[in-house]
Amino acid sequence: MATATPTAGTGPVKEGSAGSARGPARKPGRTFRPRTLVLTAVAWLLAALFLAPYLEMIVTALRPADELRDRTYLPDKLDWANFVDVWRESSLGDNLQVTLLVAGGSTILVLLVSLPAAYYTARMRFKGRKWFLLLVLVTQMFQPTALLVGLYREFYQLDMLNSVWTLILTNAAFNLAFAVWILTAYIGSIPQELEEAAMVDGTSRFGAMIKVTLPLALPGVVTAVIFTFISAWNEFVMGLTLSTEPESQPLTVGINNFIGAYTVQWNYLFAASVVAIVPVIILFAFIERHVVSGLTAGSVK
Amino acid sequence: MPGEDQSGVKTRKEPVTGPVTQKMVPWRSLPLGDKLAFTAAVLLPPRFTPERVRYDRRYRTLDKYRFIVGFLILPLVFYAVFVISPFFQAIYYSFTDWAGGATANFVGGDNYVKMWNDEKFWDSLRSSLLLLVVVPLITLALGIFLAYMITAGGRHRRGEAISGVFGSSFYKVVYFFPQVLSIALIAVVWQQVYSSRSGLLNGALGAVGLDGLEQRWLGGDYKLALFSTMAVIAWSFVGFYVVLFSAAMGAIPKDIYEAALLDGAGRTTTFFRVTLPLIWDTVRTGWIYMGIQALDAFAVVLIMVPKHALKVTPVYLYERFREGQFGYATAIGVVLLALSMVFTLVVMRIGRRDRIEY
Repeated sequence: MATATPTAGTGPVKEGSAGSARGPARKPGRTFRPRTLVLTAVAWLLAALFLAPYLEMIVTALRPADELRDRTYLPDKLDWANFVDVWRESSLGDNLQVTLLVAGGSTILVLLVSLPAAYYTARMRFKGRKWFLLLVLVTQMFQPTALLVGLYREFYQLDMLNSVWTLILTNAAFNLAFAVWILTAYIGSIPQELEEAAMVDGTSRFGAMIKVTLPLALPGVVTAVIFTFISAWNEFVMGLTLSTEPESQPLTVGINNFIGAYTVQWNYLFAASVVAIVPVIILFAFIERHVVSGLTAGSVK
Repeated sequence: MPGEDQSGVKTRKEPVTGPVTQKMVPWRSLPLGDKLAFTAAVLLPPRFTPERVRYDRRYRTLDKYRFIVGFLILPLVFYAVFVISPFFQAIYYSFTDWAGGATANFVGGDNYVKMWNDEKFWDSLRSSLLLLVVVPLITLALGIFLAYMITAGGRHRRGEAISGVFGSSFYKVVYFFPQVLSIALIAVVWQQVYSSRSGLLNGALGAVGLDGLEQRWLGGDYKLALFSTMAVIAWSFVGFYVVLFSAAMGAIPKDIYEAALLDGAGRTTTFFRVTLPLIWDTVRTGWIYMGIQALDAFAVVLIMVPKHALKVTPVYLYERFREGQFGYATAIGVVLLALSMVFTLVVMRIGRRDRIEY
């Protein structure tokens, strides 16, 4: 850009005497060019577009039932009773319990299984290492919908439909790939010499893994754990097909039971949705900073 | 090796950690106690294993494989049972007439013939293929544009060759956030946004005075429903690519941008000549991933779109599944899997370029 050169030039020279002489216009690049204005407006508009649905959800969750059909955007009064009512009148409590068990259980399972596997894959050059990593990648590509009948058949034969364990196991299996992938990248970036030093000092290999590598890999472990938890919390397809009774369905499926054939209880629906989203927001706040490193470790490499 | 005399030769591969074993006693003539110690060593930590056994070469092999078995067997079993096995079961049952009962008769390619003649299947496939082709293009283009704005769209300040816009991390979080929401919730929320009576979209159009543009977004026209669905999928995935691509762009060394700036390249030239070629690998990976996600637009369509307006293949599969036509449903699933594999191969092939190292 031709206009960019002068502003870039003034940058390093500022401070000191020059600043006072040029008065308020001294800040580099603070001149408002039309293009900047347009771009800023577009950016804000896009951000608003991205945020509006959340607002819609919260507003509807607080909308009194008799105002549901109104065209006014903001309700006249906020109705917190929706939250209480939805809790009392539906199987939401059971659904929440199922979701908590499934998300918690599968996260623990994924951690127990993926951590040793990732450690081994990162540290050892064994036969079939590439194949193992490829398998991990390829299985991540299978759509659950296409595997749905096969899985249904498996659990049907085991007589495990509607069991919480079914959802724990399937969620764990589908999230394993991502966890192994992230953790392998993380552990691989920790110098092996640290472990070797500990082993020279008399620690066993296992001890070195627990006391040296694991604490250093902790950010990666936390990222993997929270990603797994969020994705198991949000899972929909398995919950829909592998559990058919309302009480044994997870929250995401239970919420959709508010959508009837003819009527939709929007206020209840969105009150329940808010309940489902809040834990995710809190967890996401914890790993927001690690998201980039987690994703790049997982996919850019 | 058994039988070989090793007394004079020091093995070079193994570091000497104790008294060198003079000669390997063949397994059969080991005293029973040692055999037991060996067996126990599989599970015990080294400190409980007698030295005699620990210094045996066979113990080292055992130690190595113990790690493999202990560390890799669980994930492999998991994959085998929950991913690989359903996959092969799906292929097998697609050749049967299994309807949920105890019997599943082998019927050859009947399900596939039925699919070939099934008008409704082809209708759903047409929508799915449109999603597969169009959605990745929209989402990736938008993702790349936003990521470029975030990493390089800012004013040139302090002599830097590139700089991000003000508040870039805020935008990243805002765009990324749908990615952490359940797709089921996203569908529910957008159903309300699109709602023709009390929806946010029509409300906003009315408020700005564009009443004429108000639509029945989902329940009416096929094209409009398809377009609305595409918009929701793009909305929910674009943030993932913004974060991914801005990470990839951030990894490009600054001096390349400086060199481009010195050569007089503007932002657009820089983008097409520097940024895009350097992140191409990431774009291709993202393209494959997004295509597969779009092909599987199950939850969004099932929850959000009324049945008569639009049907995609996964939803069609699910309906057959609910009706108990399990054999037919798996056959559709197999076609879906095959489609996503073909798509992956095609993108890998047409997206191939010389890898640029930096």
